[in-house]
Amino acid sequence: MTFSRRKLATAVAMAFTASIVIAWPASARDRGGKPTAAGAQPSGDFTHAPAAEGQANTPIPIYVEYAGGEQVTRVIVKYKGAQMEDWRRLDLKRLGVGWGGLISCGDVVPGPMRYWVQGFDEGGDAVATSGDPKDPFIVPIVDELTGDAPHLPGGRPPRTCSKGGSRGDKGEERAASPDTGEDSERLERLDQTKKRPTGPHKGDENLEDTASERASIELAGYNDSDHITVVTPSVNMGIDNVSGASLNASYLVDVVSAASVDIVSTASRRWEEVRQAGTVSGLYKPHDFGVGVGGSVSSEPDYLSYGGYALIVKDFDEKNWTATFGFGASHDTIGRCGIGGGCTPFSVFSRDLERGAFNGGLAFVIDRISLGSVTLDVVIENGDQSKPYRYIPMFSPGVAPTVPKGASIDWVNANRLAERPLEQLPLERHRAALTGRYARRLDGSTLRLEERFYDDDWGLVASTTDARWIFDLGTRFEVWPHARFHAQTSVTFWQRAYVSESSTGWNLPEYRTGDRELGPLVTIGGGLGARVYLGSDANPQRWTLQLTWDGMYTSFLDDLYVTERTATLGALTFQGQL
Amino acid sequence: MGRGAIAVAAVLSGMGSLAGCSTVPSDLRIGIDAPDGSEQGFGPVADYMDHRCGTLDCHGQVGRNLRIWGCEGMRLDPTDIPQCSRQLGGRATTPAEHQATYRSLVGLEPAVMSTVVAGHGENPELLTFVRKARGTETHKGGALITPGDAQDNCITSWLAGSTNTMACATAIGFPMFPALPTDASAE
Repeated sequence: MTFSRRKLATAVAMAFTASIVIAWPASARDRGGKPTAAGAQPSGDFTHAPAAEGQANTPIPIYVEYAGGEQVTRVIVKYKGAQMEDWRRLDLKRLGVGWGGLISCGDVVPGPMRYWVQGFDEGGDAVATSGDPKDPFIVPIVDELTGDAPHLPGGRPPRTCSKGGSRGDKGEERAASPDTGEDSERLERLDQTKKRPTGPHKGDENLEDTASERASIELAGYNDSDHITVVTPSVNMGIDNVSGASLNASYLVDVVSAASVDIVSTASRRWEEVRQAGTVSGLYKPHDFGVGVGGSVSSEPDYLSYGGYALIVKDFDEKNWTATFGFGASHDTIGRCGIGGGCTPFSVFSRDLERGAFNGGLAFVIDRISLGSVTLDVVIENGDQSKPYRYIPMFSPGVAPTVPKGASIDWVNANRLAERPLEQLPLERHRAALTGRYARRLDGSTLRLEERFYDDDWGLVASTTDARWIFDLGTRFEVWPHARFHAQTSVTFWQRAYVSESSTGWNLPEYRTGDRELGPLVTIGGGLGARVYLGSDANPQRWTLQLTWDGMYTSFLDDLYVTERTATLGALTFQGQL
Repeated sequence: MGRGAIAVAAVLSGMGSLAGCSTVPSDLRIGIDAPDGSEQGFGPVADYMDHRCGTLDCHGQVGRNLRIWGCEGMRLDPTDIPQCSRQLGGRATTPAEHQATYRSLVGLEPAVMSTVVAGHGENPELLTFVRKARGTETHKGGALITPGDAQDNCITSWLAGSTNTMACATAIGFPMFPALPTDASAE
């Protein structure tokens, strides 16, 4: 039997706090991560300490660390030298607990060197930033340094290039700095590995692993007052490569036990069921354009679903805007099982449901501490998605107006007509949802807001508002309250009591449903979340333990059997960078 | 924002128009191309179903989607007892009980029933209750009839528009299900 496909999406907090520890003269470095360079420098998600100055014709090392809550998989620096008209990009590489890179010596000329930093998640969304084009970090480039030369952590300062060194000339830069620090050499080796043909080569064992792997396990649980319990263990794995490629996979199991009123009202008993679902996805986005594909399979005794999608991602305006377009298609086969656990083969009874989904979104940097995004989802469904277990009680024209809200099973059985037809929903559905998200970094906390408007051609209109305020409690602990409000109208054909005109033969409503999720309702929810970073002092985020708990109250405004539902949803997640 | 972002906005707008379709009407009604509901046409079928499927622990319950009334199970008149014999204080199944069973059975799958009847009963297995009775679909009561036997002929002849009363009379000789009380409640 088909569980209502309740998503046990855990209430994972999405924070974006960050810090940069700059690779500048050690004497200038502030352990608190505060900028110490002269002049007003921008702050932001990354902790940042710009250098006091840089030397002309000498690579400028930049090293950042990120301590925020987002899963930053890529960090870039946009920079513009004194004689450059356009911003150029430098992809930082994994370096120790942070990210590092060198601005080519050819771009380092006397005058101001401007730059700002952006962090992206695996989906290519900008999730953290420090500075922006209008308010960049500024480092004066001089012919002769007055203090210590900047360098990457633990490394030596890069050497000045030979005359004529040009931007991007790694060989010359390398030749000019044979004695750069260890981390500088590592960065250069990373660049060289990208230029090499694939396949094993002598000496490859000395190369850095350019990929980062991560994995997480989670145990989620759901329970509500309608006697439905779901336990969901899951595992996720991912790998990201500095070239901009990422691969992710997940697998989960839903163990459902239900004795809801919808089951009891048909004189059936509690049932249990197991659902398994897996996903795999990949994204390749080496620069400002990327493509991604993915697929999913979900199987339970009476339901089989599989699908795939493809998307493209494009950055505009120096990544201040990122657009995403995707299309996905899926095929569902809906069957039926008996109370005893036996299932009817799909070849004997099944219904097909085809689904096409378009997705388009814009993510944008509002200012250096605020991010926003707008996403539009359009889904077109074709097929009979009526529940093959759900029979709808019919009432005479005289009785229907007297059916009380929340009428009991006994009351309905005593007053309904003999006919109780199967649920019948329209065979096509067009759905659209517009979602806006806003995140703002405050002093010691991050506020995240989300609003989603939904509309479909069945007449259902809904609004969902979600807010999360994540507080940093030191460098290893985050805690957040969470609030959610959802309200929706019913579909046009919704009736608490459907009428059958039996006096004139057969006269039934063509569309009829008992699915409370299609009726008018209001849900209020709230909860708490906490995250602890358990890694070493050098990399506390390597191991993360997260616990979330949410409670929800739903008021069903025009339904049979139940008028309210309370539910709890919790998840415990352990994640590690391998 | 530039031309790129404007183009993106235009595409988003176009996508939004995909969903801007007319809303499903709220008051559409349908009828059923129904099989014979007369006493002559359905009475024998109802009596057979009462005997075979309508015991009080199976479909002789008000909570069932398919309700079956009759003197061997659930009675329409609360003063009646589940007993057909007058000597034992009961009375035979009434026409009103036949009609109630008819409404329950025919009303289960209105559209499918219309299809089967329009096809003169050619594909009775389109109906869930036939598949369950034949055991081709999961049924708590198991497979009760075999295609081509008297029980099956009783039902399919009715769906085809000409009830085989002889088959129904023979079918009623099949044992009541379940033979002994168990907790097997049929769905």
